[in-house]
Parts: sequence; structure tokens; C-alpha cells
Amino acid sequence: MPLSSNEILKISNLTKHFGRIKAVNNLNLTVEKGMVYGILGPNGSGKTTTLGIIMDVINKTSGSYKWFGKAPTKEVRKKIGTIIETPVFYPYMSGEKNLKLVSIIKEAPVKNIPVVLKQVGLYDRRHDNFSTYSLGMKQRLSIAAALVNDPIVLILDEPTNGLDPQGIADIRQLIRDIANEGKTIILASHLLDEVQKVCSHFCVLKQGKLLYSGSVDDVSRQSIAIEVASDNAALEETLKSWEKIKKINHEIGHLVIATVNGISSEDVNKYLFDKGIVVSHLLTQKKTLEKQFLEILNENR
Amino acid sequence: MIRLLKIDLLKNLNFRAFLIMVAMYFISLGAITASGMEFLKWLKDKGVEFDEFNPLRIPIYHFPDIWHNLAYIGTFFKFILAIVVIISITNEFSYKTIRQNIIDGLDRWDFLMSKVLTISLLSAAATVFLFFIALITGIIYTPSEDMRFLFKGVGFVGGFFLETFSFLLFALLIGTLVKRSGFAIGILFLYTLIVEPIATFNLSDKLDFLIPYFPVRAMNEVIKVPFPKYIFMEIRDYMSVESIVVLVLYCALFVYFTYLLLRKRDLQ
Repeated sequence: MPLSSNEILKISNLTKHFGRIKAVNNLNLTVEKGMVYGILGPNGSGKTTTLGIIMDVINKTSGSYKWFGKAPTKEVRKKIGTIIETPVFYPYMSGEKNLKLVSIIKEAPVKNIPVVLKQVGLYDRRHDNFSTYSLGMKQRLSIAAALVNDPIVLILDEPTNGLDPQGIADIRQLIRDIANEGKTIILASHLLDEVQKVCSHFCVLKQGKLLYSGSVDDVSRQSIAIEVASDNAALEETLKSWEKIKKINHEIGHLVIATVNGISSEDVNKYLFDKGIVVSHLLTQKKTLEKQFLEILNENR
Repeated sequence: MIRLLKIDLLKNLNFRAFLIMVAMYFISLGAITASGMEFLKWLKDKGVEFDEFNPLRIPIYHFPDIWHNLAYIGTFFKFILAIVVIISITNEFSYKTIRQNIIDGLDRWDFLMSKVLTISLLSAAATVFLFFIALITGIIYTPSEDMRFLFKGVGFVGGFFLETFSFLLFALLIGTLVKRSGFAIGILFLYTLIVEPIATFNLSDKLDFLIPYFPVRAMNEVIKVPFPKYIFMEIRDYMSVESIVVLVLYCALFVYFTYLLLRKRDLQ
């Protein structure tokens, strides 16, 4: 089978059981080069377990996964930068020594250590023990560790959990910077807003199953919802009789209508005006990932 | 291989408890093995009764006996190093750094080998240390006519290495199995000093032939107690090939089982 050279990660029929619980259930995913791929899902949906399996710390029950079209090896992991929710380092060692350890494991050049320490703003604290760092500094050290071997792929698992706004902004900036270098990023999160802000593609997991996958742009390009209100009582009847309207919902003070593709709020306004109805409220709702996500979850309840 | 050793040494040499315990090991090993003769002199000076028998005439520190005697005494200190090994492996579980090491690019075998290499280095350093103590004290106390036996029986130092090395691998296995340091140290001591001795003692006569194949017994089987020979009891004053082979096999088994544990386990 010819392989697409753009394929970074391919997960096929991956399953993991913890006793009777299926943490990952027959999962299929493909991440291509240059994607910023968000893995969305409520807590306990199998995001972290999936990442654990592809980093070889959790044994799969069945199925397979490939990095760069090949069976996974430790050499591949050396070129992957990983930032997980809780930064893990030796607490009794300084930030610099911890990075030295990581660079020996990853076989990264030692000269990268001061570079990445400066990049994350920990250079002045490099001789202090890891245990003395604040959570934000710990997370920045794990960013430094992820960057020390100039990774091809970056994996982040709930990277902004517990961080202050500055820390969150730093992480997002980092993701954008790295994505701009054309590197591939896989980001697991339950924060929809985060995924919408930084990701190009996303998938939704629930109870270990893949519910949806697609590009973030597709979501905002999908048929939009329009809020409309008028003092004219004939509003609803008039809209119902128009074939371009797919659905009408009642909300407090206004109707929410779904139109067929290509029909914008402008068209709606014109149509109603021609029918003698003047609207008092007209608003285009941009479809957010959040709405999409909740819809997907609800459809699969 | 050097890379794996470097990894584990970096972790350990920055850990103060490791340095303190290893220093304690070498100081106590050195002090006790080197001072035996002075201790006997002191006892005699204090007027301790030896049934009109001069303890200083026992050739404990004479070549060739000294190799066997000091190797035997030296093995008792392995418990200190075993605690060091247990702390080193259980820390990896409590800090979750084993998981991070693997995410970063070690595989489980690399990780295990980095620990085994440190154990080898510790055992080798202890062996070289013991060799020089025996050599120097032997030269001091051996009467000149016995100096021709200088290196006769030096092989016991190799037995000391094997016994220490195997016990540390055993500690690594237990540390990997239970993952918590206090618990692991307790189990190691309980099994070594109480469970296995009682189990072998109560073994039915028909199964007595199995006794030398129990793990702790197998460790003690290489270097037998030397001292009863000074009251004219018969002892085995050489290392049997069989006991060495059994213990080498045990070393391989300890490493294999530790690997199986690491391989089968999910590192959450």
C-alpha cells in the first residue's frame, strides 16, 4: 500500500481496556503534516490514554498505530516533544540538570539547553531546584524540555490546566509559533475555545469512541443560524412559507432560523421586507466549535 | 551503554541520600573489614579470656585465608547498597519519572539497563575497594614466610562481587514489584532474613536437596562461612562451580522478571 508522505500519525482500530472499562474503543485517526490537531472530549473520554499509547507508556489491548508510516520505535519519541498536564521532573535537581538529563535521553545537542532555557524565560533560575519552581515555571520547563531536541511533532495534553492567564497566553503563543514553522501539533483538551483558537483540525472522542473528525474551518463555514424578531405577527408564517428556510426555533424574544447554504441574513432581510415585514432584530450567529461539539455529543447520547 | 550509565548516574549523584548511603557503605565496609586484627588486639588488651588461647595467632588476616575471610564479612554490608537501589528505583515510580523517561525516548529495556549498569558499577567499586583492603591488611599482618600465598584464594573477591551484584538485582526486582520504598525495604529484609530461612528450615527432608536453590540461600552458597575451620571444623574453603552457575542464573532471572514487570505494566 503506498503511503502518503504527509502522514505523521495513523491510528488504526486502537482499543484499550482497563478491566471492564473500554478507555479507547476501536479508534481510527490520521494526523497529517502541518496540522494542528485537536483531540476534544469530556473528561474520561480516552484522550490521555490514547496519547499514552502512542508514546508507549500504556500498552494497547489491540489495534495499531504508526508514526511517519512506520512501526513505532524509541527513536521516533526522541523527535517528539511532549508537554503533559503535570510537568514531571526530578524535584531535587535543578532545571538545567533536568534538561541535561532530557537531552541525554533524546540525544539532543547540549548547546540547545541554554537556548531553550532563555526561550522560556528560566535562564536566571536554571540553577534552582525544580521543587522550588511555581506551577507556571514548571510548565515552562516542560516546554523547554519539549523543544530541546528540535521536535518534528509536538504533543500537548491539557497544557493550560491550572495556569494563570499569562501562562495560558504563553502556551498558545508557543503553539502558534511552532505551527508557523510547519511542524505538526497534537493537542488534547477539553477546552473548546482553546482548540478553536489554535487548531486547524479536530476530532471528538466520547467514551473512547471517535464521534467526529474534520477541520475547524468547516465548522464555521457550515450553515449559519440567524436570529430574527419583528413586531409583525406574520413573521413566523412568512418564514415558514419560504423554501430557503430549513428550520425555525423559538427563543426568548426572537426566532432562530437555519437557512440553506448561501442564504445570508441580508437575503432574509430583503425577503421579509419585500413581504411587508420590517424586522426589529437581525443577528447572524457564528457557529462556534462549542455549539458543534455539544451538538455532536447530543446526537450521540 | 555509556549513555545509559550517564543517565542513571546523573539522577543518583544529584540525590543527596544516594551519596550519603553510598559513603556510609564504603566507610563501614572499610572500617569493619580493615580493623578486625586491631579489634582482637583490643579485646586481648582488655583481658578478655580466650581459654589460654591467643586470638592473635589465628591467621584470619594472613594470606591466603584473608581473601575468604574478608569477602565473607564484606557481603554483610550489601544491605546498605540494597536500600540505595530500592530508593533509586522506587523514586522513579513515585516521581513518575520512569513514565517521562520513556515518553522522552528510552524504552523499558534501556531504562532497566541504566539501573543495572549503576548496580554493576556499585558492585565493581565495592569489589575493588575490598580487594585493596584485603591486599593491604594482608601485607601488614601476614608473616613473611606466608607471603608466597599472596594471591592464593583471591577468587573469593570475585565471589563477593557476584553475591553483592545478585542481591542488588534482587532489591531492584522487589523495588520494581512494590514501587514504594518503605514497603520494598521491609519486604526485602523480611524475605531475606526471616521468610526464606524459616521456609528452608521447615522444608521436609525429602525436599532438602532444593535448599541450595532458594534465591537468598543461593547467594550465601558461593562464599561459605570460613571461621569454623579455626576450631578444626570442616568447611568448604573454595567456591563451587555449581554455586556460581546457580547464582549467575539467578541474576539473569532477576533481570528478566524485572523487565517483564516493566513491560506488562501501564505507566499512568
